[in-house]
Formats: sequence, C-alpha cells, structure tokens
Amino acid sequence: MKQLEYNEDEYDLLKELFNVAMGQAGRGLAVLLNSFVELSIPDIKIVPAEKIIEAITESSTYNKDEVVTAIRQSFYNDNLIEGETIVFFAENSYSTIADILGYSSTLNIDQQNELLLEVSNIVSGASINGFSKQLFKSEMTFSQPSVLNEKMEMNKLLYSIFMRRQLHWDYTLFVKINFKLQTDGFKSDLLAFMSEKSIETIKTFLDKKLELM
Amino acid sequence: MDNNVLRIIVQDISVGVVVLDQAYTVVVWNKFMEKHSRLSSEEIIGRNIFDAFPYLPKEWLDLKLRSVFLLKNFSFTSWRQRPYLFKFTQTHPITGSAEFMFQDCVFLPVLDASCEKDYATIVIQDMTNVALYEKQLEELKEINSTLEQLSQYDVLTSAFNRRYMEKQLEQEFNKSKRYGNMFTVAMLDIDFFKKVNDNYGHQAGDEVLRQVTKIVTAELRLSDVLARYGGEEFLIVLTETDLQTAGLVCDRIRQKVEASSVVFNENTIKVTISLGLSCYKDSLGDYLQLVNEADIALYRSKKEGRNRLTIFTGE
Repeated sequence: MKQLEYNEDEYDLLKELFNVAMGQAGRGLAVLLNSFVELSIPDIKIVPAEKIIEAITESSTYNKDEVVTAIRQSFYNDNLIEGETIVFFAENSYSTIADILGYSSTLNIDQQNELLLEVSNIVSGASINGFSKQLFKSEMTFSQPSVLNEKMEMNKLLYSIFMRRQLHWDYTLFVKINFKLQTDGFKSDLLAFMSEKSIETIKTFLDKKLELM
Repeated sequence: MDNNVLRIIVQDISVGVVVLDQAYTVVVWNKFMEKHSRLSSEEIIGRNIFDAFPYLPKEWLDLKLRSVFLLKNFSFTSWRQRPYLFKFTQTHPITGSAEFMFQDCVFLPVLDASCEKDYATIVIQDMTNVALYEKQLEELKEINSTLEQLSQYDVLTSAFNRRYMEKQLEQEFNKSKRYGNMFTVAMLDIDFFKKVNDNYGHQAGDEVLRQVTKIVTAELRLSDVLARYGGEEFLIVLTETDLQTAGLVCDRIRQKVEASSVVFNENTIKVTISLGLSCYKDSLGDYLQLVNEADIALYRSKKEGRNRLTIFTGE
C-alpha cells in the first residue's frame, strides 16, 4: 500500500483554496437562501479507511445516537478528480429549512426529503465547485443526489456505510465543513471524500501552483 | 463536429431537452418534448414556461433555476420524491400500468460565450420502467422484513438472524460495561463464495452455507451465539471468552471447514473461511465499534491470503 501524504506547504495551500471557495460559496448561498450562511474553515486530511468513522465523529455536529438523514452525491471534474459528498440533517431540520424558503412546513416524507436533497445539492455544489474553480480553473460535474439513509442513528448509519470490507479504497482525502444558516440556528456538516487518484492529481496541481509562488 | 449535426442529435435524442433563458422563456424544445407534451417547438419557443404549463410548481422551480443561474449549480429532481415535472402520459400506452411518465430531471447551467448569455438546460429522462420495477422490489423487501421480524432464525441456515444478533450483542455489551465480563466477537466469511455460486449454482452455495453453519455450531458451547449476518457472512459471540481462547476455537473451526467438503449434484465442493476477532474493552463506546473492529481484522485476513484468522490489535 502506497503511503499518500501532503507536505505542510501543500496542506496550507489546499486549505487556502478551500477557504476562498467557502467565502464565495457562502455569499452565493446567502443571496439564494435569503439567510446568512456561515461555512466553517474546512478540516482537511488524508484518512485511511480504518479511521474514517473516527474522523467523521470527531467534532461532529451530531451525537452518535442522534437520528439523522444522510444525503449523498457524486462529483467529478473530467479525469482530474472524483469523489462524493455526504450531508447529514437532524430529524426536524426540514421544517427550519421550509421556514427559511417560505414553504409550508406540513410536508410529507417525500417532500421533506426533497427539501433536504435541494439544500444538500446547493451547499455541496457551491462549495465543491468553488474548490474546483480555485484549483483547476474549471467546473465540477455533479450527479443526482440521493437519500443514503433515512432517519437512522448516526453511528448505526456510519458503521453500515463504512464497513471496511465494503470499501474499495484504502485512503481518502476527507474534507469536513460545518455550515450554519444564521437566522434560524440551523447547522449541519458537509463531508467530502475524494478518491486516491484524486489525492495524487491534487498534489500535482498544488505543486504547480507552489512553484509559481 | 458541425454545429448542425449537434443540433440534430439534441433534437433526436430520446431524452427531453429544454433550454430556458434568464426570463424563463423557452429557447429549445426537442422532439421528445414535442411528442410527449403534444406541443410543437413553433408553438412554445418564445413563451414563458410557467405560462405554457401553469401546473408547474413555480416557487420551487424558481429556487432551482435561480441556483442554476446564480451559483452555476447543477440541480436535480428525482421520481422518488417528485414523480414527474411535466405531466406526460407514459410511454407504454397499451401494456403500462403507470398513469404518468416518471421522470428524473437535471438542470444544467450553460453559457453561450458568443453572446455572453446564461441559459438553463433541463434534461428530462423517462424513468417509468425503473420506477415500476423498484416499486415491486420495495414491496418484496417489506414482506421480507416483516417475516424477519417475526422470527429470530435465518431461514436458510437455521442460525440466528442479524436482528436477533444485534439485540444479543447489545445486551452482552451492556453486561460487560456493568460487570466487566469478557467476551469476544468473531466475524467469519466464506472465501470466494461468489465462485461457488457461479460454478455450481445458487443451490450449491446454499448447501455450503448450511454445511459451514453445522461445523461452526458443533464447535461452539451452548452459551455462544452464531448468526448469519449477511450473505456469506457470519458473526459469533463467544461469551466469557478471552481472545486467546477464542482464537483457538476459531482456528479449530477454520481447520474443520478446510478439511470438509460438500457433495452437491455429483460435484465435490471445497471451501475455506476467513475470520476476524476482537474482544470487549472498556474503551469501546458501543457494540457497533466492536463489530467494526472484527470487520477490520477480517479484512486483513482476506488481504493476507484468506483461510486464516486475524486478531484486531488497533494498528
């Protein structure tokens, strides 16, 4: 197994690019959602498959026995990078979101999920696309988001998704972004996972940028 | 490629293609849309989409289109939550049972560089076949899960089922938290099981699962619990057992499986198993973490060549 790691300069630049992307994404989202959106400074690291659950639960917005719905989505930029995002929503967050968007909050389960898919897609799109534009100067392509798991305890959910033998990868570039909608105290975690091949591509692009600095 | 050729492709492709400008005026309406909406492109191009289709959910679609124009975001709808965007009759007018065409839609930001104008393209895909098939599957799944809830046994092997095992694990874990009892969990899976199914058929595979269950059960004590946890995957709880003793028991099981064979339809089938073990520690938060450790250990057994057992060490 090849050990994949970034050096300090590469990490610093990567964080810097993500920070710029988050700032832009936050401003766009604020206009769209009529609510001030705060995106945290991303937590970025390369994580081995055995440690991924720990990495997610560490400083997570949710407790391990909190009931959440998870939305997943794939993204790629040509052959440069590929990955998936997961966004978690607490049980009643749909009603807060419905309020913000001015929808009625008596929604059936499909409408609730649709609202979570929408917000997840918008936040993932803005953040990850921003990053892609920063690093590669080109846009990311997204596939349809889907409900990964509906109303399940956080740790049961994680242990069912990230069973070691089901994972076809040894390392992932893991990015955790906490986002808040300021008006209503709504908050959640956006997680992005990028493939091993992407880790190397990103390294190449970071090094090119560092050379020019 | 010539622009005209691309235009023909867009016109003839068997998905719906609609292009809107920032005022939500229709700019492109391909043949798929013409056929299913019964509106020709001459009739609709230049009109506002909401005027042409008053039933469209305006408020919600507006949010989507704004996210496309403003953030240059992709946007989506799925038949799972919203069966259709456009009210089209479905494509199997004679044999179909759905009233409307189920649709998945993708909204794409498009920039026309020649005039610096932004457009939103909506691609509409007919998902009726998938939707009907999945609905049938869903019904089956529901029946299965009801059956599973009524029983604590796995129908095929007569070992306990996963549901029952999870309850046992939780109890055993809580007991250890309170009284400090030792127990070990072993996760076991049949090596290259898919090959057995592919080469000899599923019935042969089922026979192998029953045989392994028999061998494991014979080696366990009454207080131990064996369950079929997934397809070819079993979980054993060895109560009051430390890792060393559990290791001995499990290695004996492994050897017995290796030495045995299943005769099915005049074929002699030989299989081996791999195992991963982990034992209770006070530092663990819940039983899921313990099962996860056994899974990581089993992964290592597989990676290092199979037909072996690995004890989780945390390295």
